[in-house]
Amino acid sequence: MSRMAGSGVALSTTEWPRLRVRIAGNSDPWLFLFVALLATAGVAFVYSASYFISTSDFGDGYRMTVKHIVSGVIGMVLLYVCSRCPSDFLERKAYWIFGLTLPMLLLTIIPGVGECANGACRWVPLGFFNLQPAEFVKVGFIIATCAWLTRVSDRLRNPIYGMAPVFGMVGLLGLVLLSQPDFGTTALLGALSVLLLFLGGVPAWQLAGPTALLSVLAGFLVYLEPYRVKRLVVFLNPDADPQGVGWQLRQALIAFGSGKVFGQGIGASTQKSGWLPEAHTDFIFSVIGEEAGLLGASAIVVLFALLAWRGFRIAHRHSEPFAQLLAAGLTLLITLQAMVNMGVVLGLLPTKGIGLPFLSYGGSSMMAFLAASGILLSLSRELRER
Amino acid sequence: MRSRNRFSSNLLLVAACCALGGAGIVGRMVFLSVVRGDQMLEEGLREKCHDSVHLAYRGPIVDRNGVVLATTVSASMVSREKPYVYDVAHAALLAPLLGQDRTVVDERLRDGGNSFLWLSSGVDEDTATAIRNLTIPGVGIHVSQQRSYPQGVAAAHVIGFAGRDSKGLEGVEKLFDDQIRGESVTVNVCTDIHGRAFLSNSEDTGLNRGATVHLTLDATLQSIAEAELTKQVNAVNAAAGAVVMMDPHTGEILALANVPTFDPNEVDASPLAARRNRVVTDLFEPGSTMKPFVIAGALDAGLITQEEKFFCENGHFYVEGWHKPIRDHHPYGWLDTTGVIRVSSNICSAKIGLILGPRRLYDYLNAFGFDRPTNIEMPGERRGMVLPPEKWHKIQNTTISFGQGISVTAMQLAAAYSTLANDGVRMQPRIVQRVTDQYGSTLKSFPLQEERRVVSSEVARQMRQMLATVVGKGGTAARAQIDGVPAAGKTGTAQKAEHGGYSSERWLSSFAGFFPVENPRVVVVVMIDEPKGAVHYGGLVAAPVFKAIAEDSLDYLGIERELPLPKDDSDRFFLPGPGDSTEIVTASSGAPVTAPSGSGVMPDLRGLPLRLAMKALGDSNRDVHVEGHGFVVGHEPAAGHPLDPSASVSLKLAQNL
Repeated sequence: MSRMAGSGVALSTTEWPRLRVRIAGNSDPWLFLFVALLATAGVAFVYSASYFISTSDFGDGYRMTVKHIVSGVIGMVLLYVCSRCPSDFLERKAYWIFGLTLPMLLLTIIPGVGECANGACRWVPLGFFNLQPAEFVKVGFIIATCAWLTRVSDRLRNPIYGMAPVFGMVGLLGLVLLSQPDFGTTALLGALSVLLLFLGGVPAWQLAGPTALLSVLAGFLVYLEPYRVKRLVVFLNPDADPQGVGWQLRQALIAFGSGKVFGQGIGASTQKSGWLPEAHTDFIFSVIGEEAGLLGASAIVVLFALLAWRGFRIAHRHSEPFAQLLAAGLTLLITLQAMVNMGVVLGLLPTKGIGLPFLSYGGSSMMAFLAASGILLSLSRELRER
Repeated sequence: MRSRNRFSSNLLLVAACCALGGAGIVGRMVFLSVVRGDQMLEEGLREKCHDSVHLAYRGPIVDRNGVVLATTVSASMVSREKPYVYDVAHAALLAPLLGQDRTVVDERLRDGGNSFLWLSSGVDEDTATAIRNLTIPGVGIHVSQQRSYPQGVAAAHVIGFAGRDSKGLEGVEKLFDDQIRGESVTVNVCTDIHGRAFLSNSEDTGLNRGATVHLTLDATLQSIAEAELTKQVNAVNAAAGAVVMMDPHTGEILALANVPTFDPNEVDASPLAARRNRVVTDLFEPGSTMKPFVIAGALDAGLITQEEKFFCENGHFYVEGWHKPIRDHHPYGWLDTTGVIRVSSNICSAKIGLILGPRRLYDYLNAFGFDRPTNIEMPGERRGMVLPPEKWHKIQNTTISFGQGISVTAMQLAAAYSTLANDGVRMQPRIVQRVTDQYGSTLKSFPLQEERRVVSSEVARQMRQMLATVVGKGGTAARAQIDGVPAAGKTGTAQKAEHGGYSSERWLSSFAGFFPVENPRVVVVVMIDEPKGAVHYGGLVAAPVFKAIAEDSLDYLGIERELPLPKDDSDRFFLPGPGDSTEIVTASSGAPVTAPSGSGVMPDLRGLPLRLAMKALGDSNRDVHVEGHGFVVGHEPAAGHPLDPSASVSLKLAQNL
């Protein structure tokens, strides 16, 4: 039975069957299973969704899939390494870890160094591979923020220690990210920082004001960029510009809806043949819906839900405040990004440009999320080994 | 220090919010998939898919022996498309294969990134393979149908041509478009964003082929007609020319040539005028070529006889009610009917026309096929014009008798001469034998059809005899004489009408004839439009084309050249008249042969077997050196050169002419 029984918290009442599998020592095999299932589904759907674009861009339909698998393998190594990092080590080295991710991010905005695509310069060319530093910055930011909030946990009611440095850091990162530009990641970091502050102990009433302010700021940024305004207009009225900005969303909805309940069959998407832009990256969930139907897409949602459940369970059960906050933060990173991505694809949110964790094509994202999963596994092992 | 309970309850709150968000997402998913699913699917298909008409393979057009005149080939088209990346080296590789200038290719490759464009249409299979082997990403080969005319300009006006959308636009291509085109199949094709069909949806309808049209044309005769016509049109610097060859017993068109002509493979390169099938679309005033039908009518009606004599008024003949006289080129006194034809007297033709009278004259002309369409399977045929006799002024009874004041087509003329050649029975002219499907079974046939008897068999025979004299000595068309085969025909020279009168500079020379005289195999009509220069008479301009065509085709048609022994009054054939003969012994056989010596001119012996050549040389004593076997292909001295009675002759023979 749970140690937390009697605390009245519902999270602890469910006891999961114990998997007799040892993964990364004594860590949570269920967590690993869900991550592995999502990543495997990702490989399958990236293959299906990227074949057309890969053929037309590189003359080789398998090229993107192979790259995706290679990043998956590297990501798995990262996952294993991270699963071996104890939480106190992460806590001690938190700022170093965060600091390591920053120079790369700065490189992206140096003209001539950053690699651009579709008008956004988010990558650093490494020869064999284009790195997207923002993916790692998100993980580093969470680790550093959790460390900081744990350290100043008794002074959090004072905004000087709580909100100011955290929002300040988001602001600084935002300056770099927005010049790429990467509005989606900035917004995601903002949302994550609010949630971490809340979980870290900042009273909700204190957060309300700055959160509202941030939202207004976000609105202002949208207003500044005509293409974001267009996206918003289209989001509010998808038929406003069916051949232009509305095109992608319309194609995404057509793709998802066409799958109906049982899907058109794996590999049978027609929307991926150039009709739906970014079918293999940000809009892969549409292709999943088209090929695997409501049932398949629901299975993905369920996997994310189960993953979130295991993540929050670690946060709930861990004895160390830093580890608790970190588990919650990383779980939220995965969950929030997944929800925002699905929201965009399904037409619930304006188009952002962030991928679906574990599933979208993109090596950096794959590696960063597998690394984050590794940290979660490490934290889960500490639960079990105690 | 924050409290554990506080953290847990906050975490629960956040998790609950996530669950709420997740529920919203799932709700939206259900809405899209279940409620809107069908609508979305339909909307997507409407965008991605369209009805595509798969054209059937356009059927071939072949001549009477199966020679392919029009066919459909797979044409490979070269494109630049995604993911092409420009490289300066590509133009150097592609330009020689595409047969284009390197700088032009380079420019096209460089411009517009990798957006789709055609680099070349219709490259052959070898070139396509070579381009494929270059493996330049984004340089693609697309295969489509293309109409091809393997014989080039041959019979271009008969075949016509088909447009890019595989629709027949002219000639047989147009007239038989429905059959040739076959049934196109409409397929709902779904494509990717670049418009390429998904493999799973593309349907091969290649088995669906259009019908084959079998023409009556003979490609060999067609090329002979075209070559000789072109030669003469160039020689006399004429504006245009046309030739029709018809089998009089079947009404089948064996050859139909027009100059100027065009290459149906490159229609756009030709002016519109070059695409006109003048044989059926152009009307002309026939002139003297009409006289035989007037005389045949009078003979058939029993109003005159072949031997009857007419007074040709010594060149001037005033018809009552008309201020100008009818003239002949040379003044003639008394001529019999044959003479009227032979010298082509306008005055006596007019007199015979008057004997026949307007009603019967019109009826005969009409029965011969004038003032009515021939109904040949050619688009744009005109019927010509002969005024109805009620509207004739008396002078028209005479002018029409020598072919003025009416208009006809070369096709009508050919059919009319065929009637005389076919013992007076008119056959329905036709140019298509049958239409067969892709398996060879006949879909539609055009059987021989006897239209009507126009004149009696006896009158037709008399006409052939009389027309033979035209080609003989003293006839107007001595230049139509064919070596070894008696021929018959009639010349025509018409001033072209302009400004309400007749031009003194623009002429239309024609010749209509057939060979051999008895049991004619082929009727040939030749038109030469606006020959420049001093010579414009049909006998000098058009008749030589008839002769050349006939001589070129004798062997192909298997018409045996007969070699009548020299007769006292005949130099119709190439043999010189008889004279002093000297006995000689040939080097090879030792047999005595005769050779003509009186004329002292070497005959043309080419094409003759040795035995006939020896006979032709006469029985004079002369050295004849023979080299080779078979037929004479050359000799020394050459034809027309002086031949001394005692001079030696060397003959060169070969198995194939």
